[in-house]
Amino acid sequence: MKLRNIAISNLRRRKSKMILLVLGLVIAVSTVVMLIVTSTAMNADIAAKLDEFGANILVVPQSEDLSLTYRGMSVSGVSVDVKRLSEDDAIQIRTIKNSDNIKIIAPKLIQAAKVSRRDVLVVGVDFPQELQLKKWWRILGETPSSKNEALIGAELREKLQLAVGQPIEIKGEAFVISGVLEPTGSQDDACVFIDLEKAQQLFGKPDELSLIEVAARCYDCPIEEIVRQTSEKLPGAKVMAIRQTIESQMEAMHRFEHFSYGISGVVLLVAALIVMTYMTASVNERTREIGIFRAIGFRQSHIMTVILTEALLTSSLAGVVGYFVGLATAKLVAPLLINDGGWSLELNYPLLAFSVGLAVSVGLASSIYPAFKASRLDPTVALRAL
Amino acid sequence: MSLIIAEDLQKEYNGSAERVAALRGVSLEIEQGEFVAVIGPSGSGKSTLLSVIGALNHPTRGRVVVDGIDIYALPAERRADFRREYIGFVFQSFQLVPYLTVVENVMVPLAVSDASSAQKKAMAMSILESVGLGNKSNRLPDELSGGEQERVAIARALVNHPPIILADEPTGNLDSATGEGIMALLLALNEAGHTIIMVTHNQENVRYARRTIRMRDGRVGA
Repeated sequence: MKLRNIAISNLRRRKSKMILLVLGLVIAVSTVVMLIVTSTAMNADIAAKLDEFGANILVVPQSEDLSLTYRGMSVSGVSVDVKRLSEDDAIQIRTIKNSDNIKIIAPKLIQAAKVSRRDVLVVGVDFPQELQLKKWWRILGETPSSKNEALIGAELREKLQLAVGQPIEIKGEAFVISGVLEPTGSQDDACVFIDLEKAQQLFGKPDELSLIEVAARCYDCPIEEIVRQTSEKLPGAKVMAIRQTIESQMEAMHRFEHFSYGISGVVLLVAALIVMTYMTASVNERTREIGIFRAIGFRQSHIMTVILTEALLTSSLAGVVGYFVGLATAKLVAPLLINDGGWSLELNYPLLAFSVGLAVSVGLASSIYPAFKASRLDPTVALRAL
Repeated sequence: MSLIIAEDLQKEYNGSAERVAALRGVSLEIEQGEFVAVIGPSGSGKSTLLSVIGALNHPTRGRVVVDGIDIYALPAERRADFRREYIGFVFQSFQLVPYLTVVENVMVPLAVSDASSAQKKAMAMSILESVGLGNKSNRLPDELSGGEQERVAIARALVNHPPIILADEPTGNLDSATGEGIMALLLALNEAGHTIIMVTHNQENVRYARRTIRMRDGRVGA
């Protein structure tokens, strides 16, 4: 027999009332868990979409004269470079403070050259990075795997009547078309893509870059901040953010988060009131019993221990149950908010610990006053027997 | 020195209209091993006297010294410890905890002690055996007769081996035959060395006591 045995026995006796108390807390905790799980999933969803949208930061050399454009952005021309971008600049981007947010760095050298007597944009790229950046690319044939293979855009293929496996000549050097891009609706359709190093060598611009496309995961940080940090690292370059539709989704996400905080606050407050009402009623019903305990020699702190142990046990149970109910609710609710199903509902121990902690904090905090009141009961009044 | 010394005890309650004096200057001494009956009409202050001696009810004036300890000079939490060590209460309406079994009720005073659960259970069982309830230890209080419940209450009062037992109308809710059994038990405890102070209406019970204190209007009478 310990104080906790008294608490457990009392809970057992008042089973139906205890279940109501647990239920009140479960509703609150599960709502909070559901909101957390859903907004985490929404964040992951937005992060995944960010990848699909490709680059959101563009780094180009500072230039005064504009001659060619790529992806709607000005690119320095062949002859009017003021400052040059180098491979080292691409490496520098990795050293910014928020470098964890940088996902892909795709450097490029873009030059105009004659291919089959037509002026064509030849883009030297780092193929692995480029493919990661442009998830929407669909390639007929193969990605170039050797330095003398090229990938061409759909529009170019049509105009020049080219096909996979055919040879082409760029600046007097022979290439084989290893693959053709399906139409993308972008300027990529009219370009030839070859290996970056090969392009640098071909155009006699070793180490030089025309632009660097960067994909940063910015759902949890302002893109302006990454742009600022990158600009600081690359004083000779112009760093620009590409505004994307993802921003409106991020804003919606933030609004959802604020809404979640509000709802969580309200349900937790209601739960706290339920616990307080239950505990006060429980103490009032047990006045006589508390008088006995006091007469027998329980300290005031012992009485508080009994009552708070009851609160601790019920709210821990509510925390565990609330976690699972919240998870189940999220499973029902999330598909309404997220079209992507690529997130899991695995057992998340930190979140489980959080929901138990939340339930226990609410349970204990709202039981302190009833417990204090119980401990201050005058035993002679409580007993009415002496 | 006497085990219990009460000096000029006064206790006033705030009534609805005026202050009601329950004790108006009670002084008495009780020796170790005495069996004292406190009698008097309703409202004479005898139950108040018992609760004041039992460290449950702070007197308005006066002091109570038990075994050399001025109990109302102790901080409240230490006074709770004092009750646990020195006093065993037996209440008129048994005052058992309804959701605990017989043996658990007897163990309640031990809940705050450091003894192991097995030790506590052994202590409670041995007391229950001595009051003849060893075979009903796992029943709930409302499955027992009134006399049995009173014996559980006595067992609970004894489990800490307190030197003093305070009994308030111990036979008040019992038929006379059962009441006699309880009185015999109290007498046996007194003979075993416990100091007993018993408040009673019942003249029959008085003959078990070695001394009788008569109360009237909050004072000790002749």
